[in-house]
Amino acid sequence: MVEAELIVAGIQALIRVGKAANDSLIQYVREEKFLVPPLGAEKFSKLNLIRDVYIQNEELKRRISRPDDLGQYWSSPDDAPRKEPPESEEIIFLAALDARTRQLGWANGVPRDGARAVVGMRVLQQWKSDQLDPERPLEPLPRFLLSVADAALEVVGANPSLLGIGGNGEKLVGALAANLAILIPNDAREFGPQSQFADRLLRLFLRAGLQTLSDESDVVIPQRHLSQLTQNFLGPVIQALPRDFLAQQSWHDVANALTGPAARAAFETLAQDPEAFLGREFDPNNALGAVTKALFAETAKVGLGTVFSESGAIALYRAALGVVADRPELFAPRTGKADTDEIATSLIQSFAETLVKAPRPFNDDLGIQLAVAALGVFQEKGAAFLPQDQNWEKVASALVMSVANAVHDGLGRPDHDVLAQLFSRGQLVQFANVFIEAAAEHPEWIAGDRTELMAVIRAVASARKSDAGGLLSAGAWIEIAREVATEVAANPGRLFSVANGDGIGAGLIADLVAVAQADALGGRGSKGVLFGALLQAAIATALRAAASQSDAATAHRADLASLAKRLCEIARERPGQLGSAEWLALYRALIPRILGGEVVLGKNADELLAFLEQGASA
Amino acid sequence: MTFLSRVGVSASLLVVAVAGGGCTLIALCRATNTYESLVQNQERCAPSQPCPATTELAGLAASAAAKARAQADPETAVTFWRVAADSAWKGKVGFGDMNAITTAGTAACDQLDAAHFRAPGDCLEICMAGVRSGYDHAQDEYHELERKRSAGPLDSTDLEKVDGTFGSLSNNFNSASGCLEKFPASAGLDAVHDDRLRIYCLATKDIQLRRLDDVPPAQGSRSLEMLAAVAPRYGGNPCMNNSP
Repeated sequence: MVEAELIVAGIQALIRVGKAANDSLIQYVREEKFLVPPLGAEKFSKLNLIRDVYIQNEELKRRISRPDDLGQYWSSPDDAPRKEPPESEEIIFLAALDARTRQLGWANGVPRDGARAVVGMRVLQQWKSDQLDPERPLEPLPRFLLSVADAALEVVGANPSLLGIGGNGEKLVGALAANLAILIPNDAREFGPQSQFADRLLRLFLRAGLQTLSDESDVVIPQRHLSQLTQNFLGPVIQALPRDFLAQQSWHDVANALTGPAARAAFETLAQDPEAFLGREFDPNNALGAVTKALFAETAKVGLGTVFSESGAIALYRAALGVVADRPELFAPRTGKADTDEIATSLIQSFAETLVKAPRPFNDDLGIQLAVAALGVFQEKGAAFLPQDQNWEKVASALVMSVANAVHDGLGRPDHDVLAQLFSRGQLVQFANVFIEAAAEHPEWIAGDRTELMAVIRAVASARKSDAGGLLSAGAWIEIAREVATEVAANPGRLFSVANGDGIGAGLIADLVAVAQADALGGRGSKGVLFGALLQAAIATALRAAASQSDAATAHRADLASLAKRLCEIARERPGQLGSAEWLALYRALIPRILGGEVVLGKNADELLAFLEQGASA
Repeated sequence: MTFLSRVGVSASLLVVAVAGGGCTLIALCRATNTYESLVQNQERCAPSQPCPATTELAGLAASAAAKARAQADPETAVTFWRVAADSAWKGKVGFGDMNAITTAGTAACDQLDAAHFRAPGDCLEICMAGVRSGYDHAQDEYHELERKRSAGPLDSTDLEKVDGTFGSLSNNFNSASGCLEKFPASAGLDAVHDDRLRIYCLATKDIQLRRLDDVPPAQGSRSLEMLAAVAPRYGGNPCMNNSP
């Protein structure tokens, strides 16, 4: 195995060579051109160079004197690198070149990049000279190094500041290089056909990473975090790469489509909150790697576009990373049950199965958006509210399924055309998410029986369906859904039965919609007012009153409907005395009287309008 | 001066000689051709065996110097001094003889007027002959010390030789730099740059014969100075990049 430090120096130098020489790098590598001026009289070895720099350069001398630095590779009695490990001479040689070139740079104003290029040339020459047969393909590690350098150059060319000293780009390249020796076995026979994929993965990962870090240039990310991210992201995926040909085919598209966006998502998550995401120490089988591997494996299994679209998969992945970042404990191994890998796999599989079984249109990216919302609940709340025997990832996917089914049922299992008249896709997601957000505020709707929640959803969705005439906009229905969810959550069992979902809530909404539809039959010429904001406010008023006095509301449901109908009649008959504001004021003033058993409906219009003054003064 | 150019000059001179009957020019042609022939013969000699060509080159140095002293024409004299200097170098004459030749040759060069310095290759060669000779001597010393070093640490006497060799090479480096400065328009500058690099590389190998931590700081600094002088032309790792 080649030492990581050697790789780091090699890649950084390669990039600098590339920066300096641009297109010549490729030709340079391919043709093994290397400038060799006239021969010297004495053979000058790497050891001579090392000793030469040792004599001239205090920095190298200092590093060699430190046991935790180059001292571990140096034998003082021999004034030479140790025999073991075998790469000792290479490591010190590169360090010597590096020290030398920087020393000369300082002394002579040679740009640091140019000085570094010397190192890269030597590294290249060394690798290439190791190939006995010039036609023989490169071993995986050198090939990966060149790949990484090539990919980095693509981005660095457009964003040269990425490689500023201490910049995120330089750190990432260093982090990736440092991990290469761990990630990639330097044995072609051992690595076999997986190497092609791994090569591709590295390129895509690095390109996405550099681009993201370029966009997030104001964020300073410690190198150890980038190193962890690199290892955690790539390690499990590379290890999971299939060996057989057929399996490779299914991985091919997935790897091509997801690696870049997924890496970008991971980097963005890291950039947003580095400490929260990777401030803790993760073991190699950490949650990030587990989720990444699970996403790739599951997508490869079912096929990209079958269950997950590319954007859907990434949206789900991004949401899962949010949970990883804020609630890593949710991926902690469950004693005797599941390890981190299994939890991550269960998470992705559960949502995949939910999407397969979910009713249209929730069986595609729409369902993913609900899944994102559901994961957001656990990201915010954790899972402490769940009973011990419930696995949070399965509960999350079950919540999505419940909401999707209830919306679908409530809307009357609409076909595409009908649904399009009720909600756009975005509005439908907003509508459904209202209930997931409400569930987040009332975890018993997640952890326990969701009968009440589903009844609420069905009721509102059903009312929406009954509003075929569009008395309320889709946006208004979303607001009503929010109002209903809030009232129901605050008043358990009053508006909808916790046991079976029955209750006054659905009836009140349906009654008001029916009255409004009748009111609207004559069009604007009939001067009806119960639509739009007034209808929305009336529903909220009725639900609020019924939540406080549900028995009375149940008993006087017909009276409440009649009250609304009567007020609509007066508004049409006396438009100069009763507008929408007065309608609502009267409605609010008279509901308590009706629920209190007072006979109100027998009064004539003047008597009812007189309540306006009373209601106002009250 | 390259072989072809020498042939060209020789042919031109021969025409003049035939027309004017001058034996000087024939002698000059003979000297340069002999020098070249002997150098080629010398290269064929086995390093470990006595080489007749070396002895003959030493003789050529003396005869060329004599002809140079006898020359009235300053330019012809300089060419003879050049042959003498190069022959002395390759003939491994002693320091005293070499110094006498290069001193006289340099004096002859100094007598040339500006017009004759338009092609100052001969003078540059004269300037460098002593440097190259000193290098060869230092290289022999180095090899001897290196042989001892491979058998064990050097004793104090040998360490003094190490220092002496380094000092000699350091002076040679300065001399070569002086030649470069004195004849900036010469066509032979590339070779002088190469020689200067060779001097630096041998010097730095020489001080590596010591324990690294025992190398006098002044030698380390001097080594770095020499490196800084050659690096702009040969890069930061000049010796290894130009290693045979």
